[in-house]
Amino acid sequence: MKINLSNKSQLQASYFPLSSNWRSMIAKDWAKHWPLYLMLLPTVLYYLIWGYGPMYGIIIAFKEFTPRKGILGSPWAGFKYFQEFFTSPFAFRLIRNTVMINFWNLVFAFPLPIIFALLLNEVKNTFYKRTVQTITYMPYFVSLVVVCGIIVDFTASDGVLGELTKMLGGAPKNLLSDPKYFRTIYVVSELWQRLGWDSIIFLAALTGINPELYDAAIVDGAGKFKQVIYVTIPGIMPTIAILLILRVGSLMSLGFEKVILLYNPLIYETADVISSYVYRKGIVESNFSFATAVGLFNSVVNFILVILANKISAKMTEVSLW
Amino acid sequence: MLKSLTKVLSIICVLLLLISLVGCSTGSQDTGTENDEVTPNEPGETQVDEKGEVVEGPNTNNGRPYNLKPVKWDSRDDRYLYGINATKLPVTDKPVTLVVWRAFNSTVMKGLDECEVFKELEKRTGVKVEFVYPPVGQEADNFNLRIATNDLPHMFSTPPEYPGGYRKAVEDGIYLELTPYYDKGLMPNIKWLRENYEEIDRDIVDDEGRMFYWPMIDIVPSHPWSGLWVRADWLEELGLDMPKTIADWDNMLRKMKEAKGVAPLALDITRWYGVKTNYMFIAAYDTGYDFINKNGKAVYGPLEPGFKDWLTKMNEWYKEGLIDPDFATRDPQSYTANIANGKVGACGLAYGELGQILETGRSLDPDFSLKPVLQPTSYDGQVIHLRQNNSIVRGDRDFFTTRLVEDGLDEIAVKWKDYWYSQDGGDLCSRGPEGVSYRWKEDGSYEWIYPRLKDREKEGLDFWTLYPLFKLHNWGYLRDSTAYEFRPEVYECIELWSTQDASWVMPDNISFTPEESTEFNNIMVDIRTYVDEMTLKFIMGQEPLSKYDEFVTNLKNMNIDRATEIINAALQRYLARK
Repeated sequence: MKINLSNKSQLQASYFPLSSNWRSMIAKDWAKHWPLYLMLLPTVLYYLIWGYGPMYGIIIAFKEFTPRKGILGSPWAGFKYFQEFFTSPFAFRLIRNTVMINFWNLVFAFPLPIIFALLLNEVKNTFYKRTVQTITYMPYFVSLVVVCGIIVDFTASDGVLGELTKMLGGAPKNLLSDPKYFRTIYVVSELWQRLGWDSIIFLAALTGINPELYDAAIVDGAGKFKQVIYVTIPGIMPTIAILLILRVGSLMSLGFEKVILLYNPLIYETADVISSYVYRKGIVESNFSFATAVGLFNSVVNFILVILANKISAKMTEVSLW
Repeated sequence: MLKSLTKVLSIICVLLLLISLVGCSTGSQDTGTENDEVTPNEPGETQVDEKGEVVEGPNTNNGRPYNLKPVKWDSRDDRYLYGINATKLPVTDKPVTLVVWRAFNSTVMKGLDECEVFKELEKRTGVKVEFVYPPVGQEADNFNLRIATNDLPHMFSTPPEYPGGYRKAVEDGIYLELTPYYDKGLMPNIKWLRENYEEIDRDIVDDEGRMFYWPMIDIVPSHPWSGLWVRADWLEELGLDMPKTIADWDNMLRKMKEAKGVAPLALDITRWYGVKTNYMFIAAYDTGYDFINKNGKAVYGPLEPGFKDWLTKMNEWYKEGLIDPDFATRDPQSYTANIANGKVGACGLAYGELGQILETGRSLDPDFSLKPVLQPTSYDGQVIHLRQNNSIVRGDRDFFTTRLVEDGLDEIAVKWKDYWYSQDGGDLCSRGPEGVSYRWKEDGSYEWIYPRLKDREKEGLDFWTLYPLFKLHNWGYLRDSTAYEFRPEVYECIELWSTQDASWVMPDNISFTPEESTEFNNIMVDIRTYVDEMTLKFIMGQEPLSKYDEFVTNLKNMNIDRATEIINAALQRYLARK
């Protein structure tokens, strides 16, 4: 995941002299680098077929879609489904919940894997390091259904947390029946499941830092802490920035699986998110057009967020996606 | 003996009279009734195949008695499965295969073609069935996908609801309307049922008298399968009687909590085993959790005056610690496990779950005993009008698709499916082939003899796991709803629960137009979300009950009145059916 972006403009300059038009440019470049183009082909096809092709389906957001009539045959509905979503009494709450869960997730689940990777990087005993690494990324492979089952058991009034409360003299209660706790439960369990896994990418970035830089820092009299601040962090900054941009870009989307496995009507107030609502209203009722309309709205907002985040990042850290 | 004989004779006489009456009114529709063999009392029932040949005779029904009048089937409790045998078998002379879509999930068999019923059905009718199964858990996705890609089977058996309802499916060219085939006389068995049972005639059609589906028909109306239970051993230990009123419940729950140190009442709001289907305690306040048919008018339960009183009572019980503190987050497994583990003194349950609970419960506590109880009343002389209830024409429906017409198999398929509603066909589906899965005993009752049932203890299986091997459950056919193996407690509970009135339960077979269906569902998705949420909050005290009026205002703003109007109109049309 090391992206070397700084050389891009130089490359372009050498490949495509400004004097010739683009057609001859490509012809020339093709003759010179055709194997590279051939290698690119599968990727381009992949995106055309799986990325751009299905976008055609977006039009059902504006149609009264029935499967039998097909995408083209269904009558137009205009913005009916968008209106339906935004006039729903739950629209504001759904957007708020989605953004809030993602926000808290970003605040905790983003920096912690970085810190964890930095700490792990300082461990010199390879066996110990590997063991910790393996143990921490194991939970990632546990099925979500199982994880949610564990969470429901733990948070029940007679679950582990309830018993603990009783031991400490408190009155145990069912944590999943109080809207106050849902976001915490969601984020903490997310952290438990993903901390080790998410740190892998940073560990990989860390190995890419030139060891001579550390030697130079030591020569300059930098201690462990200063080395981290002045060598390690700047070294993985591009990775951090890019992952952050991508994270911000999905602030509006949150998978419904974990939510519908955990929530109940009592905590809809904080737990019901856009995707779980779309699941109830769109998929269960087979209202595909409605589901697509909300999905499209989500994507547009996410797209805007990515662009904004990328702009800000480009200004502040000189690292950007494009 | 003499008494039962005269009873049978009198029933037959009454039926003959009925048939002759119906026959007179409909006889003019039938052509070519020149048969001599059939008693002249029933001209209307003479069935004629499409070529105009009379099809009676001993050899036209696969060697089985061919009868156009019902014959008594003995079964437990002197119940009868009525139907006639008016199908000329086999229904096809060339080999025919029909593709049937059906959700299937079993550990005892690989596919439904292993089921004895379909083996025998193929022998009798000449129609082979090829099954296609949706992946387990993705039934709705698979159903939608098949429609979207026009990859239709010939029949969808108990599919998920088509978006916009079955009438929309016919408009969209997916499902096949059955009325023309009925009018052509291709469903003699169903015709007989319709002509002899008002309720079937009313419920098998939509408001315009059209037929769209093959429903499961319970000639012996099936009894409530779910209701309230209490721990009888606890009652005895505490010296209490079966509770009859809400005040009795107050007392009982408090004493149970005191003596056992548990929150004794297992409650569920939204799932079928609780308030939603069993009307737990809500019936005592003259209302329900969803729409009810209050004296011929559809009303929405949460808007009825009693709803607030019910909430108040539940809130009081919750505050006192009488209701399971985890009730809002329990899934069905943890709900039943809680009961089996002896932490519950009273609950709502279906009798189907009873066996497993009793076994686990007794292994932990030899005295473990659950007894059914009636819903309590909240004032003297109150009559309860709501409980779990089933109509004769059940909500389990099989649908034919337009692929039958494309393949030119529609008429054969209709005749084949109609056979499921004959006396023999219904009996085959209900019990499996005689001599293979059951046999009649001399006293007129029958016993199950399917080989694997004998070793079930060794295999660790029970009747309810094994039945798919030799009988059908919820398909469209003429069902004997007693053809299962029941524990003695089950007879006790259904007998008790049946004594309460169920006249306020919304009928299963009201029908919507596609437009109504879409609008109604659209409004109700949001409203149900809101009501589920607020009900729990009111009960658990997260919202004060003083906010009930605000709750009602919000429901009005969410257009509850329009939804009520739609469902009430559908109810009125249903009640106006003859």
